[in-house]
Amino acid sequence: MTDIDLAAGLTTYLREAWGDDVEVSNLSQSTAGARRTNVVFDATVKGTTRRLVATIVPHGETIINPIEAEAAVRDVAEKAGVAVPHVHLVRSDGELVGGPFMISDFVEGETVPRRVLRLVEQHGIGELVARQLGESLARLHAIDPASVSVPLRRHEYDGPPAVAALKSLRAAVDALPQRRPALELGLKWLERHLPDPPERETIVHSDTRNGNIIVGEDGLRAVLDWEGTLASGDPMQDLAWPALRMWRFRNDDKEIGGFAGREPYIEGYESAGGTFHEERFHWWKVEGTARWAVGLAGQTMAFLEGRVPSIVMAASGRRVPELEWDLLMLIRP
Amino acid sequence: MQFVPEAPDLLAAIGKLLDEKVLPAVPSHLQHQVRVAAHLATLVERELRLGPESNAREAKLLAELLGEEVDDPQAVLADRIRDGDDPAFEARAWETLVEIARGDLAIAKPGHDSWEGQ
Repeated sequence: MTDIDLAAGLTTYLREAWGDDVEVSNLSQSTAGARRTNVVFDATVKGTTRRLVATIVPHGETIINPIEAEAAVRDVAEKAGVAVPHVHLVRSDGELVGGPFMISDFVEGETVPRRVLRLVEQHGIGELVARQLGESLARLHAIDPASVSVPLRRHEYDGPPAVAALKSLRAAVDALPQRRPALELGLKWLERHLPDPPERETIVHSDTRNGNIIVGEDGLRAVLDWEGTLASGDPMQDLAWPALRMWRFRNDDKEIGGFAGREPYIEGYESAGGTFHEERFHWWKVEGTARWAVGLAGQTMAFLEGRVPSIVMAASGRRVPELEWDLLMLIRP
Repeated sequence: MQFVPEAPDLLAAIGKLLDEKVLPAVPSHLQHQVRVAAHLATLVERELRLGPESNAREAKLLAELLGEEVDDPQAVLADRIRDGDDPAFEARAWETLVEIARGDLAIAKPGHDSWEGQ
């Protein structure tokens, strides 16, 4: 993307949306994720300057939900009271900036997991953040999935969410280049303990973890990364994901993102109208751990096949034993 | 036959250089990649030092569990778990797999197995 003049491109698009007097300045590339680029900049309109973020999905990248769908679900979530950076503009063309993009408010705070944990410890707000995360998920899950007009991604297989997830996991494990008995044991446990379907299916963000949230000294400020949101699923899938050991970043005894134990998280969830279900929560923790092992293996396959020539992807395969360990601990007989 | 240093010592030196000298000197967008590279150099160092013994132990544990020596014990065990319905065997397999995971982690992420909670 080095040959693209981002400032000029963003100026053009913002002028089309907001009028001819928009000025763009102070551009800086804040993060270059594996699949998308975030550019922070100032936009001045009629004498007022706003700090904004452009999230750009480079052309040719595999996407889970198209950017318009991601922007639309963020809108719906914001109206339901979930903290998200407000979306101002979304374009599916975006030739001038390198691909489809959306522009949203810049929210001050920490996103890098270990820095988030340091901040949370300094200000003694671990329980608060866990509670707020629970509240946010409850508000998201309160939305009637049928009220979301945008087509979001769905589980790859039919059936109740756990059945669909298990089929997808089975296929992914079968596609691995190596047989892994620990993953087979995890699958066997998931089959044996298949839970009843949820009383009602909800929208599932699917990736609300430490690393995908913005935290300030006053607590949770925004939930990010809505690209993997599912149209419909088991709300306990969402609750379980931030409880994986992988997202505690060495604070192993603090189940929820390294912030706190599960009590404030569940209290937050239930006080905002959610219903916690322990058995399904545990099932989805096991499922999520196995799925992340397979996900890491997939990253390494992308490296080995030359699709993503990144050393970070190369290293992913060597992280599989960590997930296998976590999985075995979760299914201790 | 190569002259010394041996491969693990070279990888240790590369890891140390990346971690201590290169990491602070590169721009922020490269730091994560350099950190991962340093981690991988020391990981492969451990693999060269510990791998042969770890693999032999894994083969022995699998042979004990399966009751026989086979060509691809991981695949045989994976099939037995997938196609079987024997919780007692699965419980024994769990014990074996925990021991094997400890061997893998001694190379891939030392210390990860010191926490046994959920």
